[in-house]
Amino acid sequence: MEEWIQFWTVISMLGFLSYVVTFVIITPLGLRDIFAMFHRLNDPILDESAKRTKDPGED
Amino acid sequence: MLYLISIGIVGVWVNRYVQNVTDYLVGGRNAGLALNTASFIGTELGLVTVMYAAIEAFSRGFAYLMIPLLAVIAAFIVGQTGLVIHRLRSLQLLTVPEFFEQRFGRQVRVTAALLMALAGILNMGLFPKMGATFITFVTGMADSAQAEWMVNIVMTLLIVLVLLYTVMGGMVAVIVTDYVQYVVLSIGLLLALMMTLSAETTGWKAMVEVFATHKGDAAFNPVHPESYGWSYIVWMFVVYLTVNFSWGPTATRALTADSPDTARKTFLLGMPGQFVRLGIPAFLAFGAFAYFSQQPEWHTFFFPEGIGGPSTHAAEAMPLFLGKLLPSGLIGLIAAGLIAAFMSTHDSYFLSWASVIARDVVSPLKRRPLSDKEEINLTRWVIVAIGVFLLVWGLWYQLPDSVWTYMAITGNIYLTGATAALLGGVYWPGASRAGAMAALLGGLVSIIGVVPGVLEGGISWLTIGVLGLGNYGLCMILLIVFSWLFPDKKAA
Repeated sequence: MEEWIQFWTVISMLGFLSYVVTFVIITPLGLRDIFAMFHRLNDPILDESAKRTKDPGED
Repeated sequence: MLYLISIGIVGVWVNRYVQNVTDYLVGGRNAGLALNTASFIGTELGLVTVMYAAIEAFSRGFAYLMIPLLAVIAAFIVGQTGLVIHRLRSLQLLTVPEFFEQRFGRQVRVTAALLMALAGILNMGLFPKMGATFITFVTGMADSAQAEWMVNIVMTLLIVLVLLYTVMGGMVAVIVTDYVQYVVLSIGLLLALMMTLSAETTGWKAMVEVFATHKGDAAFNPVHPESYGWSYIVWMFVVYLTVNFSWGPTATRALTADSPDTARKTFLLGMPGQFVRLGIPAFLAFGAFAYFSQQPEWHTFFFPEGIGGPSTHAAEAMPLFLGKLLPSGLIGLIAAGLIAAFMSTHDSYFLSWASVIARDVVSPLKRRPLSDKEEINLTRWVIVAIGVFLLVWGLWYQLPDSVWTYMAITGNIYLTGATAALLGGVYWPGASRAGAMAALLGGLVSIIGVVPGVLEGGISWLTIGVLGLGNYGLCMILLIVFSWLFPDKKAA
């Protein structure tokens, strides 16, 4: 039983510590990804707007 | 309340970014690694997960931690090898059953989709009731004489809210709200864990001592004859491994990634999340066990045969404990986090099953392909229909004692056959349409486990494990035998 208690102690510590580290890394990067996703989803609209507002003789 | 309203607004607001069916179903395949991982963990960290993990941990002790460990190992294998998911993402699919049409033809796709939706919606049938029960107990509303009505009102309000923003915003809304929910819930649960571990009566030492004294070796050793045993553990490993690439909401996180490589890395970076989503509720349940074992007035409620005997009312233990341990401010944060968890699972499941029904059952059966607008509208109506079904189901269905086993068995209906067909389809050129169809239908054997009374009939963990694994084996054999007997013309 002692071996199992030690085993679960080590596994739990590793599990929770790695989660905290992952959380600290992912949270700001995830926010950046959200804005990047919106930017990419918005691209077709921006392109369409650019075409509509462009002066025909501009090119 | 402010949080709930904000979430609803997010769904409506992101609707402006949804231009076509790819945006609606897989967020335009635009999720980067960090966002995709947060969304993956947010989906997996559901309130139902918190509940069934706590129930298992309260009843089984530290031996239960083998299950989160298996989930981590399974995620590592999939993340390291790209098992099936790399191929699924490379094909730029919107749903998993689309693979079956590309590889085996339309009939196999429709069959797989029907089974996936059947298993998924049955599996999801317990979610609203469990979630609402938790919220009612943790906030103290269960003390009132109208507790049952409160559960139903909470459940109805939450389902309506999830329907609102999922119907409007699709996968873009799901990804964004999953991210918010991931942050809120991570902070809330980690704070609750720290408070539990720092209390003298429920800290690490107290937890270990109370289980060691009253339950002995079986509370720590998962292969002990009175614990899970090898067959159940092997079955759980296979379930967690195959869920990653077969189960709609989980496999969808491979499809939303911005590249096949991101899909693979999502599972690697999500490994700690796999441990924590199943591990934190377990430690809160260990704390509940230590706490109530020191309160004689609760012994007849939780331990009618003594603290070392089988536990009863395990579902109520963890929420009741949190309600007593945490200060009101932190209860609010935890409640918001857990409501978030409730919604993060529901939105992904709603969208996943609805898109499967709309795209893989209805659409292939129509003579002309649906336009993007028609498909999005159809998906929205199916989401509403599933929501109505869950409301009706939740209002009359009583929670069974063995929630986790019920969920594993309902999942097995689809997972066993789909795993055989996916593995065969990706890695074995000789796999045929007949073989895939036979394997998928072979999964229906597991439906026996859902028949009322079967799980309550004193069936042992050994038997459940052997039957669960046996169904996987049966489907693999069916795939091989029928593929040899009835090869596809091209393959022949």
